[in-house]
Amino acid sequence: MSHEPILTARHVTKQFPAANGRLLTACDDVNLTVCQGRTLGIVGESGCGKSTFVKMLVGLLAPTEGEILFHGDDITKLKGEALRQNRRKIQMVFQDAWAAFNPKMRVVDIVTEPLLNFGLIRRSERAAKAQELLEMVHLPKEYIDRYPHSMSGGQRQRVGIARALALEPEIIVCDEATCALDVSVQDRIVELLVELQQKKGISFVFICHDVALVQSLSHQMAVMYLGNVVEVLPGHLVGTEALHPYTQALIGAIFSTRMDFTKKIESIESEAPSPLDVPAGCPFQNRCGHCMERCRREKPKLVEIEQHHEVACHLFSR
Amino acid sequence: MKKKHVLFVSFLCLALLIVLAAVLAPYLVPYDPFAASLTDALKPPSAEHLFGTDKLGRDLFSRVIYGSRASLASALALVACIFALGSVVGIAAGYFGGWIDAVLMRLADMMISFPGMVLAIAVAGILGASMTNAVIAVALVSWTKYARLSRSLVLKIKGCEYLAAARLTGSRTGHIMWRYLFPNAVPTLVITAATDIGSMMLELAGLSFLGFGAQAPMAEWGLMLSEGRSYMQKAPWMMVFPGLAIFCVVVVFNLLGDSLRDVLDPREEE
Amino acid sequence: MKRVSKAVAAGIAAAMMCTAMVSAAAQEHLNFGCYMYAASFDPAAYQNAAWQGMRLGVTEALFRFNDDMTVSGCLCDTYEVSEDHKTWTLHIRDGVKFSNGDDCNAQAVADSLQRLYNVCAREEYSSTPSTYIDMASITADAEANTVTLVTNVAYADLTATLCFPFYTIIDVEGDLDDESHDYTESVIGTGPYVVDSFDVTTKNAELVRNENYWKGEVPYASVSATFIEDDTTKALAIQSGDIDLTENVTTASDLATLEADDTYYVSKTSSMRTGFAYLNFAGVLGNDDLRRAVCMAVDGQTLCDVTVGGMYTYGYAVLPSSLVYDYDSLVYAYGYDVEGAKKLLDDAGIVDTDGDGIRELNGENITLRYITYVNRCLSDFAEAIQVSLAEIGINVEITNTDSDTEWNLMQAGAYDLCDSNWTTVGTGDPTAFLLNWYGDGGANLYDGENAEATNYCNYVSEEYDELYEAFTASTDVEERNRLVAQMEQVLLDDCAVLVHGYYNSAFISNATKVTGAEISTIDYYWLSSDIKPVE
Repeated sequence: MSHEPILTARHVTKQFPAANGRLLTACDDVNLTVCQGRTLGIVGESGCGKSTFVKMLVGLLAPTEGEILFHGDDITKLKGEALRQNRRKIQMVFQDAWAAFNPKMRVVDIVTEPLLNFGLIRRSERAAKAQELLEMVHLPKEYIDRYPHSMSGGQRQRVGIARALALEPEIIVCDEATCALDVSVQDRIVELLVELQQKKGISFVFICHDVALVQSLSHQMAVMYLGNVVEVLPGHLVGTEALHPYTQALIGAIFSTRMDFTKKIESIESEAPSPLDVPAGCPFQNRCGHCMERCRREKPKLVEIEQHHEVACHLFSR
Repeated sequence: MKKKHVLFVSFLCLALLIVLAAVLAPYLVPYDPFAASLTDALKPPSAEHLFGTDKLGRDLFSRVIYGSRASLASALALVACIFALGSVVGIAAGYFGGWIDAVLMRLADMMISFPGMVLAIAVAGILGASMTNAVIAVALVSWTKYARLSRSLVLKIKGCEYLAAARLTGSRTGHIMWRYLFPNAVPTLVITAATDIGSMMLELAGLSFLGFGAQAPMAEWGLMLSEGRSYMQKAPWMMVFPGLAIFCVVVVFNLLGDSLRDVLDPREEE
Repeated sequence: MKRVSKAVAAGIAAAMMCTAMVSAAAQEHLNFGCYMYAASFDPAAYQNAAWQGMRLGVTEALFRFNDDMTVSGCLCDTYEVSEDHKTWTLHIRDGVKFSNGDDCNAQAVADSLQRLYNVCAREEYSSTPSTYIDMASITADAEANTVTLVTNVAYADLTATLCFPFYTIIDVEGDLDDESHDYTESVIGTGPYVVDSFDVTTKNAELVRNENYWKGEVPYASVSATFIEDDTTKALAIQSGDIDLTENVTTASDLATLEADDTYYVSKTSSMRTGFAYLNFAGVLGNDDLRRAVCMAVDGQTLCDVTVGGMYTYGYAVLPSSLVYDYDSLVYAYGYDVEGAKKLLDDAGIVDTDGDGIRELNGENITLRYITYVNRCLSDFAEAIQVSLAEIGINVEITNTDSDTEWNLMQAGAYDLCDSNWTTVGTGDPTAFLLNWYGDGGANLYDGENAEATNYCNYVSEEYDELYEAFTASTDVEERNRLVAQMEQVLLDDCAVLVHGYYNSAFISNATKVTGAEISTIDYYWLSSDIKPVE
């Protein structure tokens, strides 16, 4: 495994037209990199643009501006059959396993559908291949004839992962894939992902609003706020070396089994502003305890402070 | 077995009986439905002629039985046509959206805005009066219902994640339509189709009555009603029996459609 | 008490008077339901408009037909004709007035006829008075009260022609070119009734009594003539009392019901109309054996008696048997004989070789295109003939259409059989009707270009043509009748036309309210002063 960057998002912006001629900016000038065999975690509050961003990664949405280079090729420009073929390399596991499967399809059909779509197996080989995939995600072989709605939440997610694995993609995006699960089940899923990464060298893009979970899993973690990436740093350093006031606030508000129960939980005051009315300057200005006059005028750029650590904050810029 | 299943099965049996009568008609009829005996015209019902004879001396019972073939065959063909055409158009419009949706739905709006019978008469007038053309004419105005229905069913699941997942995993459009959209729409459409058989039969009989569908000497109930109209006072059996036949068959198929809906509709669970 | 009883008596008297007045008024009003063939009363507009005025008793002509098709004077009482039969001097009855009080004298008559000829030369008027009378001049002699007509061609009997509705006399008030008159919604005539109002869209007319009627008292103060298209509706309307008089209920069962009920008086007569099917000699029916077999397969008697329930009287000649053309002397070799028809075809080699029940001619199944329309039972004949021909192995395809489309298809020659129903002696003799089969050596066959042609069935017979030319040249009535009978025989010998029968027209009246409603032989006359309320 080379751990080289295989996918780079550059200046990716996504805007939606909203009522009264206003624009909703879901992603604003996002620059992120996914490395081979590594996990990129993305955290942030609801509405911060992480889901929108990964939808652009997998080609379900097209960016308003910017490019996404996969092995050097801009995949945002792909259309038709080329786009379809590209799908073999980038797959997704959905958040809601209830909705992610056609209720009329059995597990065997669900997990082998991608292979049939590209003509990689014959219909007669479906059962065998499905069993193979289920084995990879540690599900019993008999489950191939079951319907997803007759399985537990955790098992359903495993099926989702099995489907994503079917085409042997290079990148798998997990869009809040564990949020609906119990904590214990969450951990097991995370273990599975780690195992798969080690065995097959898959890169993951892992989205979650649970910072604690993400940091344990990610090699690089990106923090997003109101469509902007405000900080990127290695996962294991998040607790200790987070610099951006928002990241720190997130850490401070964590409630997990491993936390220090003697420390006070600092919650962030006030609500996040609406992405329709993003103020000029730093997006975090209204809630930041360290807000300066410059912050209201000028939007901070994402700048590399140390190796593998970038921050977008005037406190740390020259 | 639940009551609704009992009802469904009984109506299904009745409908099958009617279909059987239509299929086996050549063996069931006591006389040749087209054999005329001019001197025996307008005879009232008797032991020899169960339903009497018509103005050309043809046995009315045989003609009524035979008429089930024309009426049923054309009604079923018509429903099959509009089902197929309407579903395809509706699914395409719902799935692709954009200008395809706009064009197809404006087309549907256009067809709906014509009063059905009038347009059907105009088409039959241009193409010539025959059973085939009557089916075409009625199909032209009736497919829109299925298009709208299937479109709304598609729109319901269009936003579902599993459709996005299907596209993500490389499904082609045709695959999505066939494996996802169509099976989702089919149950509702089938219920609509079953209920429609009765009303389509009435439309076709109506066109034949007006002279735009079946032509003499075909044995078709609507046409027989029209022929009997001039003899309403003198030989009422010429209208009564074909009218009864239409009534019974339409009622059976309507009830069949209703009971099918009861059986398939999950919300009817007690 | 006395005051009260006086008041009561006065009240009762008043009520009785009112009732009497109402019933008298009701007695004086007639509700007539009929088919209206025209949206105009102007005799120059088109044929049906000319007939309308005459039928509704609004206009009259110089002469009139009796029930035996002889001629009586109407507005003209005496006349003289020159030796060469080209100058006709007609004396106008003295004292006749138009309904508006104007004198109907020789000048008025001459003006009316002159105006007719003047305006009919224009495109927008479709009546063709010059087809029947090729007029050279019309002059009036006011003193003698005579009108002198000079014709370019010699006519055997112009008086019969002058019975035709084109020549009804209307008050043109000196306006010979319609500069200030429009006769669409009403005309001033000499008949018993006057048009009070006419709705061109609904074709309903309200008529009132002509106070100046020359024949005398007009029984009804007013008449409502309501347009009823459907025969069953006519029957139901008279049964429900909405109308008290109606004409021509052509659905046999409805007519039979009315005949069986004493409340109604049905006056029936065999009319001058023949229902028949043209046979296209340019199609497969040009084959003599096939054509003869087709004629032999049809049981005309049963069709008339049973299938159309007596609405037609059976006959095989083109002219009604009640006319003076010696029907009994005619011989028809191709009457109903099913076995004979089959044998004829078998002998001619027209057989069914592929077992589908249909005989073949020149290798193709014989399918005859039969055009008909729903009027006066014609489509019933067509359907019955279809089954009759199926019995001998000939397939028939019926196209049931309206009379306009039928006319177009016939002109285009797109038929093998084509139904029609004609008044045969509209001008007193069959000159116009017999033109249907006049070939003129081929010149009279319609080919799409020659609008003058009158033969649409492609039948040419030298013998017939000679007889016809002799007929038109002759002015001797006896000789003409003989020639007509001979022409009929030629058509019978050649099986040139398939005759269904002679149409019976009828007048139906509510016998409790109306009396004197007798149908005339020729259906020019419906409303007349003979129709009165029951006393």
